[in-house]
Amino acid sequence: MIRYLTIPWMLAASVLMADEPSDLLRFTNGDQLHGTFQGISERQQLMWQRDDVAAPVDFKLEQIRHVVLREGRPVKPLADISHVALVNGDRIPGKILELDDQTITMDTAFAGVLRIPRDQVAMFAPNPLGGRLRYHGPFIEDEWKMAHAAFPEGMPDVEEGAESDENDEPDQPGRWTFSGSGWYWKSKSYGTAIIRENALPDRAILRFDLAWRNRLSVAIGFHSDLAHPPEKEDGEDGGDKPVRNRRALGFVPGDSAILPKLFGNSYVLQIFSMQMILYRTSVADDGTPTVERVQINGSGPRLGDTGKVTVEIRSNRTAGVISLFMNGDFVAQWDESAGGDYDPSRFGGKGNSFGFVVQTESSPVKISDIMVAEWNGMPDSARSMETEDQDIALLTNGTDRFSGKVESFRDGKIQLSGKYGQFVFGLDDVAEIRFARNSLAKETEAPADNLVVQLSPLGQISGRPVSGDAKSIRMVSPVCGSIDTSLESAVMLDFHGSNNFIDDWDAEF
Amino acid sequence: MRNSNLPLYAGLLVLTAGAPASRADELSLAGDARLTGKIRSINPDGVVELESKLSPEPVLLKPDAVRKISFEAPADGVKLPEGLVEFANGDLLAARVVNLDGKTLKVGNPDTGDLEIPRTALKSIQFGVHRQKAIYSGPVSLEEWTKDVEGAKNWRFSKDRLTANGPAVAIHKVDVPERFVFKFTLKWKTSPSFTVYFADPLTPNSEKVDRYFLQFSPSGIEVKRESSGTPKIQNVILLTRGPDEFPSNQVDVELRVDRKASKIHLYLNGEPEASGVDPAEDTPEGSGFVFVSSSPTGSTQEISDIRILDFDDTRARHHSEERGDPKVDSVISRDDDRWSGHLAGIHPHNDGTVLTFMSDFQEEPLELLESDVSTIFFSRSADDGETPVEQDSWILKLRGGGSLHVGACTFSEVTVSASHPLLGAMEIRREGVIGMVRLKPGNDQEDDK
Repeated sequence: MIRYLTIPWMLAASVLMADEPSDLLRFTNGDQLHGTFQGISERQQLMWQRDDVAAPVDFKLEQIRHVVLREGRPVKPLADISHVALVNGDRIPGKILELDDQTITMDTAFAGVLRIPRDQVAMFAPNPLGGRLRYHGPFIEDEWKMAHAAFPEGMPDVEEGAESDENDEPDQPGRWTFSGSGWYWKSKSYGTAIIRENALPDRAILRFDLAWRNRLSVAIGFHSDLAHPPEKEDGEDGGDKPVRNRRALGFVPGDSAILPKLFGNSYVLQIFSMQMILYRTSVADDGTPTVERVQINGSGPRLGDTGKVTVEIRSNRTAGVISLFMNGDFVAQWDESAGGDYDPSRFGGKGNSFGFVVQTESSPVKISDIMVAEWNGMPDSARSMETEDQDIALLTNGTDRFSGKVESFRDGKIQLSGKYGQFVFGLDDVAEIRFARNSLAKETEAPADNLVVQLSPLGQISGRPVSGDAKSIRMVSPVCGSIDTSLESAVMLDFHGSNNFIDDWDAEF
Repeated sequence: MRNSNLPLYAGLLVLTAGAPASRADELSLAGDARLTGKIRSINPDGVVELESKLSPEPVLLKPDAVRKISFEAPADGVKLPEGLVEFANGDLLAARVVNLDGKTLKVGNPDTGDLEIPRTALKSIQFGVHRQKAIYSGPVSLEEWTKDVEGAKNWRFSKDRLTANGPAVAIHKVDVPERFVFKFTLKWKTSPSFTVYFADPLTPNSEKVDRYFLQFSPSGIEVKRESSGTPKIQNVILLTRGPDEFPSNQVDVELRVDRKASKIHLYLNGEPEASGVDPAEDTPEGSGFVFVSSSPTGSTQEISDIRILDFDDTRARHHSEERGDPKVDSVISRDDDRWSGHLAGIHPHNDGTVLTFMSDFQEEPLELLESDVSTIFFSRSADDGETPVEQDSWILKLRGGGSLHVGACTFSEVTVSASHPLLGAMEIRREGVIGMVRLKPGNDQEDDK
């Protein structure tokens, strides 16, 4: 439940900066304030400005959960998504300047030149995802909508004054909660989808982090056209609308019949702890919803009760080919044309939306770090390569990969020494380089006063905040040293962005 | 194309095996009709000529009348080549690669002789297809399986098999990798009662153990996971196939155990039956194999042909990869590297056959031993033209996984003469042909697999 500060000056405030997007400050106890981020003082306090107060107010950093800047919209998004991924989870966008045995040097638009110890770099991606990034988030709540079988066109607005995340009214569907850069499902019920419309190209990579507690049962709709069966007249199916809504709330957990009502003509991947099923859902012209299972080629997942996994779906809607990766490992592939009956009109996905729905009771879920990119159509089987002892270079053509040791970057070329000789790659040819796991430093727990700056469209950098103003923050990174980070491309300052995802499940996050 | 030394192979056959034994070919006709006899020819119009004891004259069967022909399985003993050549039209031929230059691939096959194949007719080559590293093969003695084992007294060893007369336990430890294949044959006199443990740590006197076991009883076959935690027993595979479905009281069991992916695949009599996922968090790490026979005295049970192999599906996985840019050659190594460029040649060398490959990212050509290579994809350009498609043709099934589209065929005692759309006229040792399947005219799809 979100509580609001009850200090007097807060009560007087109504509308803030109607023309310019305001910043949002959330506290660890659930309180929140709109206003303008003014910086961080050397006394380790966050300075916050509101029109209804004479001077900026200082808040203790340890009481702050995060600050969403400009409603999640950057002043100037980063032009380049080339980046390095660090062992500690940071993703630092920039162009590579140098690479040797000890150090990788990056030129960044937000912090200038950064020198990073090589053993802290797990991956370098000059051309990540093998295609063009279309979306990274969620940073902006308004870009998403919720739908339920009882409210397929969208959930009704929460009534003024109602507890915004009170999810467990027996006659009301639960709601997803947006916080920071993630969507949280913490209702005890199930069946409400969080949907992003018009966001998925025909050949798409959809990647996201999925964290859960208890038994996992989540469905992901993609290439969805969100077509819905026409609303029936009262009495047509033996009940009036309120009765139908109550029935819609009464779906059995895991019931696939709900899926076409949420996603229309779509592919829907159901992921359970030990199993997964791909459905083709459809809504006929007369409104009849159907669900068909698509044959799988691959193994099932092994996900326990409570965990976290990075899911990547690579799909070609027009060819009916879908590949699934988890934590970078190939898991399964579906091919609609397999078996000889090639009929694209029967392929499931008809649209360009995607969404998520939890399908069992008391199964909290967090969806974050969602990325959508155009896919070059290659299944990238190279992604399942072992990387314990060897660096792996994956090329942008989606098929070729080279193992060995990345020796250097000079004259715009990457030099790799492999079992079969020396190879030289131009940066444009390389999608990703994954560094040998056994050459990496051990991941350490982030300190309690760690600050994570989220960048748009992609990237995050962390460190201990020292000082700063509304435009930049000085922080000390255990990896990169002292960094002056421009906030032009930042969308969120996360003061409690621990890598331990369980922290995010605090009831009053 | 030439197949140059088939007469030599054929001569060897005659010298070593004498005249081929009389073999009954079985023709499947429309519905459940069938005829047995000896195929003499299939003419260009598709008429099948069958020599049958039922008729004084050869029976001429109209085109479309015959759906499938099965030839009697050939005797073992021929060492199959470890390469599998895929043609541009999808045909396959098990072959030993001799050499490759800019225009032609030369391969050897015991049934077709040496072939020279235009490079433009090639789609891919997989190497080491039939190479499976054997880790154990037995049983070779009674002591090997019964040393220091309680319940060993009821075993008897003869003719390379263990026979139990009464309750008996046999144990053997074999160092196996994370992924292995476990094969054995079970035989029973009255009713099967077997439990076979694998990936067993062989911990003495412990009730808490992590292992898998297969149970075969009158109610069916089950593969289960026994765990030191809870739940103690969990199902991996359940099959309701009871002993009635094995009328010879015998079954060949193959378990493909993938501990890395926590999956087990079960094959019975060479056919895939089911796959299951280990539901436990971790997989058993043991290397013990245990056979338990629970039949009472008088109802003997046998275990034979125990083989443990390395489970390596690398080649199948590589071959199923996306082709990528068809204008360049691609090579995939056994280590999973994949390179695009130009395959300049293949030639014999002291250390084995060597591939010379020009990568797009290297100035000097790569020299790769065939044993380091898993798969080659050959480039195709518009200049190579359309792949010819035979209308109204047959698929000739060859041993070693081969299958060739052919039109007219003639059969002698020793050879099959056929016309292949890419290779032209060719002769194949008759014993190497295991079946033929008729293609529907205008539809390149098997009528009956």
